[in-house]
Amino acid sequence: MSSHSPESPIQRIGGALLLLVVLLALLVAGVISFPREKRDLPRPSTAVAPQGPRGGALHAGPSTDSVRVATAGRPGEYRETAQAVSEGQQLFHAYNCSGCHSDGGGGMGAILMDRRWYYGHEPGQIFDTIVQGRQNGMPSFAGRIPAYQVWELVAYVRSLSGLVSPDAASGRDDHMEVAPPPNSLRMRAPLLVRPLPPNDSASVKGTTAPGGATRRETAAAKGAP
Amino acid sequence: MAAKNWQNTRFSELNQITPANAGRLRLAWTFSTGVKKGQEAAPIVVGNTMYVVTPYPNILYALDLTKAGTPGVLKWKYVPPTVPAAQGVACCDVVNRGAVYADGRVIINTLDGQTIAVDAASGRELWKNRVANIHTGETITMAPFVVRDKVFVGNSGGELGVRGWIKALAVSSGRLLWTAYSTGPDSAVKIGPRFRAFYPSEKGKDLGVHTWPPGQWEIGGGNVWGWVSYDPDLNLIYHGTGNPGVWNPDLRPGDNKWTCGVFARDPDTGEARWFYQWSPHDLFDHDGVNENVVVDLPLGRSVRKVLLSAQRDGYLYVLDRASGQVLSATPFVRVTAYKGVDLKSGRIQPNEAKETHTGVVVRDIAPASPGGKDWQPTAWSPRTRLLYIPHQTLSMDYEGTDANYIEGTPYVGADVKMYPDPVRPGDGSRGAFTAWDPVHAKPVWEIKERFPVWSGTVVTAGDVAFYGTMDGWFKAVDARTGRVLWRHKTDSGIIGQPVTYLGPDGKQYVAVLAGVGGWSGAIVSGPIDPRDRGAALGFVNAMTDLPKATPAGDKLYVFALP
Repeated sequence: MSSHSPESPIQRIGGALLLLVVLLALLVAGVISFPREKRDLPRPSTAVAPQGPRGGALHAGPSTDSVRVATAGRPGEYRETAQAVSEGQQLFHAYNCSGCHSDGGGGMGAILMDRRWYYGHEPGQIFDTIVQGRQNGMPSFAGRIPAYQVWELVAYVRSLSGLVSPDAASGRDDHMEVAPPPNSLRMRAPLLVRPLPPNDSASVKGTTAPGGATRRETAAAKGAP
Repeated sequence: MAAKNWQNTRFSELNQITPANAGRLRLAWTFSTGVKKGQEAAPIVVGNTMYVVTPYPNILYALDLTKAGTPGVLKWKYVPPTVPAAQGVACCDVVNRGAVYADGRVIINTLDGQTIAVDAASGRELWKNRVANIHTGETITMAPFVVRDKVFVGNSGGELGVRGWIKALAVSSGRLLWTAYSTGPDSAVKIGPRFRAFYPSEKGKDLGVHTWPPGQWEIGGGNVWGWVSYDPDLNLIYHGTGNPGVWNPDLRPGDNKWTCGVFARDPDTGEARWFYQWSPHDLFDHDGVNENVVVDLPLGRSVRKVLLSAQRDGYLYVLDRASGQVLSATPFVRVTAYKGVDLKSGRIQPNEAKETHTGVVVRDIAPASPGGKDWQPTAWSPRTRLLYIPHQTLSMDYEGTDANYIEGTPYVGADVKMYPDPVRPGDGSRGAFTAWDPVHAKPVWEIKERFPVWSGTVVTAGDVAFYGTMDGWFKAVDARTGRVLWRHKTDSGIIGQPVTYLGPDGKQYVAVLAGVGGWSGAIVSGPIDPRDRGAALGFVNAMTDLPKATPAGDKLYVFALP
């Protein structure tokens, strides 16, 4: 016969399949892996390493006016980009925000993944909350976090409740998954509720009534003062 | 006092309510405290007055029992001046575990770090002393404990890198008499010439410094947020110490003295007399603060002076309370985290397969962080010679993470997901009420519950034990057989400490606060979104069905026979 190939087409396909199977096996065995690239951020200068000296205490609750002016934010620095959100996500853990707010589900601190905003959902308002602190326990980070990092935190915090485009929001976390990834959340309109005065402490932080609605929510919905 | 007596037995001599008539218990009266957070306090009764302290803002109510159930029941109300920001540094709901009465005064601790005495008759403030600083992450949730002229107070803050301490204040004036730290040099821990540890690993100079990386002891935890007991014959107080600062153990190599252990101290001077460490170099947030019940127990041919302690690590310890020697340590729940306690060295043996490290997810660690039993106190009946243990049956997945210390913020370094123990019980139940025979080191009976049994318990000379469930059932059980004699559905889950008292009319009453919350119930009482399974330090993952079972509550319930 005229053409005599050393390998039939079936043999060639078989060879390719074999290669694929070997590659898959290697992948499963963990010999070949595709780890997420880890980029080290500059360590926040305020986060004192355990070996180092004790830093000064944060001020629990709202800061004084003199401290407030120490960190002035410029809204022009704010970006809702994937990079800003992703860096904010790492800073959220580095500055121990996650210790109180978990991965947005709250705990010692307020829930960040729902629609309720006691102190405002606009980037500038969240910036103020981080820098100034709030009366019911949010400490003031004034002078502790560079303004550009505060803005990155703001972007990540907003992404937790779907206020940032899913294209920019994070799809996964660097640790054991405990909460749905922010980019899976649908964008929803924020629900504005008024913070209670500090003395009405019996029901701060959204005490849930049997019906499921908080007192503040109810008051806001009714337009109460 | 919340623990009923110095020995912490929570045994009442009252015997009108018995297994024969408990089925006829009826609601006698209720009182609403107005604070819908976790109600962990024990109401205390002195003469014809009941004193109830609420979760933050820590309102103290005096209720006139001669007018119980009428509008005139409120004798007075004391609202302490407090700082709301304290709520932001309280790890696990804003609970308070009760008041103590001494010498005409009612003494309370406030979440924002004050110890306050008010006149028991009038509610007038007599003294207050700010002993803890919320700006460094300190709070106070424990019930103060009085021995003669001194009141003992300890701090909370083990999740914020707070250095633990116990302080003695004068009952008369609130003046600070001594402070003993749980970490640091011997002088600060009050370890001196009178200290005699039983085991070699507790011997050496300044172990509270040398068993840590440099400086880490300053933020090393060991908080004294649990119970204090007292043996008047030996003149020793016993108190546990909490978890070491930063949960992730990779960040603090060493034994981390004197965390996760129990101190015997001279109440007059604070000097440590002995110490035993339940879990050196804690790997799982297994605090050591659970109550040490003072009991004399026939063991072998002699009667031994012992402490009974159902600890977070899942073991029921019997300790010689004069020396600190471990006489036995038996698991009362499923334990995968450890292989046992070596009675020769006294050391618990961690299971290498379950050791926690940075960046590694370890699965099925039992018991989970809240332990086989958390703060919820046991009761001992000298009649049945059984220890009644309200507790949980949880396992967890755990991953150590990096952690930065920033004073006044959480310092944990771990991601946690808890769930019902998959093997024992393995049926999705998360708690149990167990009667334990410490002489034969075995359970006698056990009642399984859907949720962790986060309430305390009381047992009576009528051989009835009482406890509550997180879905709101208050139960009376036969102390000998575990048969449920009676139950009553309350408005909210129960995590409080039941008490029983003789009313002005000569009748026996049983009282308990119903109001779910605390670490386990934060999903209902706190600001928590159940979609985040890691919230409340991973407890939420095990409790997502709690909000359907109970709302938050604030009510005192009092029951009696008709």
